[in-house]
Amino acid sequence: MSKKIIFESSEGESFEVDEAVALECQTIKNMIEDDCTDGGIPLANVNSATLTKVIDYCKKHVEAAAAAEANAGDKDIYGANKDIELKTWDEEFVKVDQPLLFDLMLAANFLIIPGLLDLTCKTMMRGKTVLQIREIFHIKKDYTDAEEAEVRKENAWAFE
Amino acid sequence: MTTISDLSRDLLVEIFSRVPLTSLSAVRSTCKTWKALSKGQILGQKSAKKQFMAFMMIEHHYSIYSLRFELQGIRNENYCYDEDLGKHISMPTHQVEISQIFHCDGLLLCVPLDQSRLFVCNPYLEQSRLVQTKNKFHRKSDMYVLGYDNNNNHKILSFSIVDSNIKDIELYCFSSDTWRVLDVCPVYCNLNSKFFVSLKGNTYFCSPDHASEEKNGLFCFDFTTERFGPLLPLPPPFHSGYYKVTDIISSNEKLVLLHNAYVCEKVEIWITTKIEPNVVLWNKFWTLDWYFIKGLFPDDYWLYFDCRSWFIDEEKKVVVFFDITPKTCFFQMAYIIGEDGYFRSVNLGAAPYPEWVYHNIEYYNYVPSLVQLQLQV
Repeated sequence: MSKKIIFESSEGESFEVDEAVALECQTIKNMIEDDCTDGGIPLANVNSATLTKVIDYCKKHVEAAAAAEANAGDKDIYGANKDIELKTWDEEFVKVDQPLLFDLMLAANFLIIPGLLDLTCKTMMRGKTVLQIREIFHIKKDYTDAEEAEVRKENAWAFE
Repeated sequence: MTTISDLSRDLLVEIFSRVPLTSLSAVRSTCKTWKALSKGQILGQKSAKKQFMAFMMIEHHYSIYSLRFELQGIRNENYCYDEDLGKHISMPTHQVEISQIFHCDGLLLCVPLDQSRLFVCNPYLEQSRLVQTKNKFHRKSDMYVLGYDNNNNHKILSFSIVDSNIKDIELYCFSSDTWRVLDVCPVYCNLNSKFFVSLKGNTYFCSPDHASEEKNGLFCFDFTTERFGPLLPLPPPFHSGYYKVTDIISSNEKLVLLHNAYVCEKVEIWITTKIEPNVVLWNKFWTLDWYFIKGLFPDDYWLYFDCRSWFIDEEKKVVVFFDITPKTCFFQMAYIIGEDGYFRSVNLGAAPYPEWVYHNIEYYNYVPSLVQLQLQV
């Protein structure tokens, strides 16, 4: 039986996961290597809802990596079929409300999960209008209307 | 509750490096802090998504268009292209008709039709600078290229090509804001097309000459020594019959050359393993069977396919050709060819302006950069 690691959320709830799943987090990996995971790992800044999602993500990616290894040699240049499935899964995974997405991003940053950080950062802003971004992130507009129009005009070129 | 305003600058930089470049306008319009941050880094630099970008100049159209192409997922069955291809973009050139462009490390040099002045801009940084041309007759044949020396001083080289010779060579320095005549002998240059490209600040001119072995080659204008370098070898012809260099591009600090021989229906792609103003070493990337492309066109129409817009993904061993001016069908196409025999054509939609078909297009592959323009004091 594989070794288990216990996480403790900010609410004090315990989550038991396989070591392989916990290893997806660079921060935890370091702790495991330093042998300081006995008695559970308290994650004071990650709440239960976020932690549940983070564990789901790590589990899925560990499984996918194992499956991909089993099918080695069946690689494709810009994404094999396996990747499509995982990509679709990822896309579904981040269809959550913005506060949770933001918390996931923070958790991914804290636990160092590059794939999840990438996914959440990308999703947070993609396809959003300026108004939506300001609302989501509680940012106050500090441009005058004219200034904002100017910024928009200057940047409304190749990338949009 | 933590909000984005509470985050450290470092974390925000980390986030921005993963936000797609397409969100640039939205990010910058959100607030002043974000705008400032986005100018200190390239948005989306760490994102795994590979994106190809180019600027295009359509002959007789006198404006600049952008070309954007996503590589991610291109091998997937359900890959679909939903970008605007050939989107007209407005540069800070005040609605002036542009007749030439040149790209150097994220900087774009725009030459207006009347050549009375030049525009240099870093579109990513929203910087632009106006350069007055010398008060001479503005010959339409004058050409301009942009480069920089070892001390990162930007300069513009102006020249004309008369009877296969580069003449009337003048140099503009950004730091002194002056033009001066360069006292160099005319250089032989068999430019039948715009075969010059910027690499590491210098400009390389590709001058293939089938008639003369001594004149066939590549040479560099070195912006540090302000001199033309010696003639450097081009890759050897792989067929004794007619062959031509189709195009030359720079990619990841290397020169990439494409040449083909219609006679033996092959295309070869060569990459430099070493490139300096006075030395070049070539390595063959691969040989491509022309029938891949030929097979797409009825009869002999493939002869009109000019291979002038393309790029390679060295790591994945993929070459992508664009057919922006379709002559046989109404759709613009991208042809993706993998070394392993992978082939895919992607329909990019109808050509936005049907008359493009009859015009030549100049392309410059573009990579955004944080290169600062020396602005006028």
